[in-house]
Amino acid sequence: MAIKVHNPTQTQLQRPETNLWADALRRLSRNKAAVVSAIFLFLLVLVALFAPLLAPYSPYEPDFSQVRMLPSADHWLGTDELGRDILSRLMYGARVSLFVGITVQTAATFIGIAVGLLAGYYSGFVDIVLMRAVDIMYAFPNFLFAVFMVSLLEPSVGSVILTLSLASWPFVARLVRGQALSTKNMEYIMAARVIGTPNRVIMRRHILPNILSPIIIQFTLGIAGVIMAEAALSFLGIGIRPPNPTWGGMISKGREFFRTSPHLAIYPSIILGLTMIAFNFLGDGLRDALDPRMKR
Amino acid sequence: MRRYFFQRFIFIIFSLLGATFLAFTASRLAPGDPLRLMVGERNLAPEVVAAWEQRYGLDKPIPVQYLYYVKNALQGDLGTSYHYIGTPVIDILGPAILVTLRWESVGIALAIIVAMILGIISALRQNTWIDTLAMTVALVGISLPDFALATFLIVGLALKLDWLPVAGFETPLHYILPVITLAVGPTALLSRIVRSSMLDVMQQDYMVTARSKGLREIIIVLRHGLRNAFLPVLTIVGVLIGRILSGSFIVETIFNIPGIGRVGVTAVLQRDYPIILGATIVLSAAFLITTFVIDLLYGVLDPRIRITE
Amino acid sequence: MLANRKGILIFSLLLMLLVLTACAASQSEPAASQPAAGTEASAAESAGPSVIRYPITSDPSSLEPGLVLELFAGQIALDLHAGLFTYDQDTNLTPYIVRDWDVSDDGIVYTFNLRDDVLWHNGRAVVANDFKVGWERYLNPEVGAQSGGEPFSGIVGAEAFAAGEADELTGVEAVDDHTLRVTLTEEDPYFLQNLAITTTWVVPSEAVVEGRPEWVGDPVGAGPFKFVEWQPNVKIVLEANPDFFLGKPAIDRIEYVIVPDDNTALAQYEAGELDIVPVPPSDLQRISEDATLSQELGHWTRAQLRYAGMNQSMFEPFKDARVRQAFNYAIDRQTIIENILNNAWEPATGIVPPNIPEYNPDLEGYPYDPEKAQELMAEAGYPDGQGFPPLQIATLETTTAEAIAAQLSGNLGIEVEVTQPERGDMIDGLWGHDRWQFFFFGWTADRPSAAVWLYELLYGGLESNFSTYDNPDYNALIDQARSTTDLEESKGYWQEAEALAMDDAAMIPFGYSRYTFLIKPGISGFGANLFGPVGFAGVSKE
Repeated sequence: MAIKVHNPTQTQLQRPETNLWADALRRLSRNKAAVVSAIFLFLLVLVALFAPLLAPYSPYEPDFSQVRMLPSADHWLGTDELGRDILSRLMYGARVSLFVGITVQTAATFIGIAVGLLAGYYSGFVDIVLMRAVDIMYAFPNFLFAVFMVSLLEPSVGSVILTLSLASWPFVARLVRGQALSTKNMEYIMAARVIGTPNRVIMRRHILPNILSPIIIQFTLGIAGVIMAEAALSFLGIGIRPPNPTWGGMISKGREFFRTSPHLAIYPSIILGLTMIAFNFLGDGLRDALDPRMKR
Repeated sequence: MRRYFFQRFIFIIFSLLGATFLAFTASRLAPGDPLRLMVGERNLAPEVVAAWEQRYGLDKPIPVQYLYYVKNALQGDLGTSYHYIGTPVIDILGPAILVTLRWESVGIALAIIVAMILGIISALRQNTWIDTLAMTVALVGISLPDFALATFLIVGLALKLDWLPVAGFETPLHYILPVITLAVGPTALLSRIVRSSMLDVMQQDYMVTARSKGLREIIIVLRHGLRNAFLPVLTIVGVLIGRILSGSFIVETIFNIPGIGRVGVTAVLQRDYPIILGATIVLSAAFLITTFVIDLLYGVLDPRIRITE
Repeated sequence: MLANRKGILIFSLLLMLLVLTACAASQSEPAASQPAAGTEASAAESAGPSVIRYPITSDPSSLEPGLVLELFAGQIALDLHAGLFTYDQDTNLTPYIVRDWDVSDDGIVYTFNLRDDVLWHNGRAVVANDFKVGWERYLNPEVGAQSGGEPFSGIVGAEAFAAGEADELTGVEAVDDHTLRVTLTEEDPYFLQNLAITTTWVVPSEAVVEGRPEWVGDPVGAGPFKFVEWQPNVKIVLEANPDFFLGKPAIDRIEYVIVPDDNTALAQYEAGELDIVPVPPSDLQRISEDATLSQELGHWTRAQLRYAGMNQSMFEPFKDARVRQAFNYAIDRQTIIENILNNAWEPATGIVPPNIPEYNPDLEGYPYDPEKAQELMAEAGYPDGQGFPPLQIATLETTTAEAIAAQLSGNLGIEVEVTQPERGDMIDGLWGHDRWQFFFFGWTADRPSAAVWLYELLYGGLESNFSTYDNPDYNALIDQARSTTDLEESKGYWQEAEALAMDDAAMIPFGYSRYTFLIKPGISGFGANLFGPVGFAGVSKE
């Protein structure tokens, strides 16, 4: 271990758990931007879940006689280059984008926690080896990594998820490791160690709960990052397979037609943008709410 | 301290080896053969393929190829490109790196300056409409994929209004649109960090003391606040620089800037192994060294952080 | 202590600033010289040298005509180099360095009289022996010529030379400086065509020996333009050759600018940063409706077939001709091309594109007939698509493939997904016959012959037969067509073979693409023959 963070505020006494979460929720509910964002995201999830019921048209079925139509009473957001209803595609796209975002971030969080905890708690050799793996992933040019992965695997939702998960976990691992480092020297952990509590238990019962809030914040912001990364893959033509609508895919396809029919790219851009902003507001709100230091 | 330096150096070398090995294996395993890609839609005589594979040592097993590669690389020879037949890798990568450094340093500098201004203003005017406005502006920046933003900028500013050139990198004017596209995301990220660390700092005892001494707010902010608020920014900048260096291929493609990002992606698409590996080494090294320097700087700047032996 | 730290901080901030300004300064340094060049270029439009800026999507791998691998690089070869024959704008075989020629009665011995006024760019005269030496070089497998020596394989002694069993290509003889005699092993009606393909054009041997054998450095040719510079990933610059044997070109300078993104290239054209640009189908409608831009639009026929291939070895149902026919009936080529591709292509009625001598105008192709398609599927045992395994169509151009997939799903009740593999994967998988069951691809001619499609794409056992179609009757017809020296007679066999492949639905021919360019007003003489733009020798700019 090379750098140690002596952070005086970290040694404050922790409140009992139930109160912490209740407090956090109360604080969060006072943050208007975060509440609005949470409601927006909740609605988005509902739309995604019930897309088949809500969507006015099939997102796959083209109508060659109604290509690149402007918004109308029939098609509220118009149609795309194959005459598919853009609103329906956006709804189904929410499914794919959210699914990818949540799955990837969940996977990344699990790997990140495991690696970060082990490295931070054990230090020494384990730390050095694990953190070199993190370094390599960090240092490896991310676009090269993505192109490699996608060319090694079949292009599919699964390989996109795998690629982005592999690219995302080092962030979580670093975060967790830092937190674990500063937590493990606290007195109650020392005490637990002295009375012979197994390391496994200490990590799970005592360290993990105490570093949960930064992980939750990272999780929220991370989903936004993943959705954006999927969009970048779509631009390279190595994202999720075309008939399946994703917002990124719709924007990058719409870009081709941007001069002729700008609405193809603009609507998905708006919805993607709003989602990004919502995740960020929510993440900021959570940070304020969960971090007892930040009493504003 | 010396030991620490040495250790970090070893780590950097180790990580570089790891990264190149990863790139090497991946590029050899990936389906797609460079010669076939160049030929595209034409038939190819088997003798041509054989001669070609022999020339570049592609007929040897992968681990052997890798060892040869490392041996040559240590002697400063990154090999010759497959695509630019016979051209040394460095002749292709060198100019590309310079181009990227040029325009991206402007973008990063712009992002840092704007972020500092936005962040400080919103921290000082916390919870006013100015704060909200500044932070919303900042957020809009991370809300769009850069290829969408780039397209909007080109169509709006270059074509509709005809203020700026569309693409290329010949004059300073050419840099404006890509720099904006590049800077918007980091600005958003950084300004929020500046804001929260400024808020943090302003509540510290020494700030309160300074204020009670009757110093003018602006002086307090500049003298005491800024330095401390800069620390977290520094950490992020380190990571950002690395990400930006390698991640700007989209901006470079759309604005047609012949930088390392575009060259790297082209190389992958053409399966130009030597260029891919060279780009991996350069970009990984840039990232590792930047973070190292930032760590050192951080240790110097933050009294709470010590480099332990 | 604190003061010390403050000092360090200020110092490092200053350092950072310094580095950044240094970078910014070094940026403005070439910028300072570049604008000068820029203004020169724009001033040029009124008086000074005339420049054409033309986009290419990536760097070519080489500028030596025999080593050029990419389709677009063949175009640069046309500007830089010259050969014995060439194709004019109407795709007529035209003597180029050859003044006139004789063929022996048995069609085996060709005697070429070369022009005596042709100079290499290094000043030396082009002599007959240059071709002998050049062809020997391309026959050497170690050189890695793009053609693999194929165009010379009919020359006496070629095989022995390629195998390293002979020191010279005995069938080629430089009688004197301007007389070249070539002896073939047997009569070959396509031999002269081979000599018009840029891959048989040669470079002076001294340029090869002096320079790098791979030859990226300073290309020397005999063409209308001379090499000036090549900045990888930026541009390739050529300038007019005052000593060109057909007269100095009207254009002073060509800049082949590397622009990987089509949309960017188009935007650059509209902003006046490029002079000529290919038009992507997505923008065709807007451009043809635009009062100004529509005036700058030009179309040329191209010998390229876009088709969907059905890989029989990978997907069992494709072995059934009825399934293949059903697929052909289920696709509305006309509507897709009209509504989605904005008529950028022409619906395919056969496999061989128009303007190829063996083109058969009487073929009608498969009409759009969903009912017929459903009947055929039912006959084949898949009523309403039941029991038909899910299918993926691999493509690099998703728009068209998505339209095709949607129609197949909609009309036949089967599941078709579109997969857009990374380019390397796509091409590798096609040649390996083992990755893509169903694919949408294009096939472009380098000579005016039906063999390009009928032989290369469908002949049993051939590597480029990505569909692994193998029909003995068809193969026999192709063999006959290829071995017949009488062109009229062989045309009959080709057309018979094509008709058979159509009836048997060997593939799904979709469209014949065209070249569509935007050309700035004031530029005249730009054009394309079937194989691509013909180069800038005849182009002028006011």
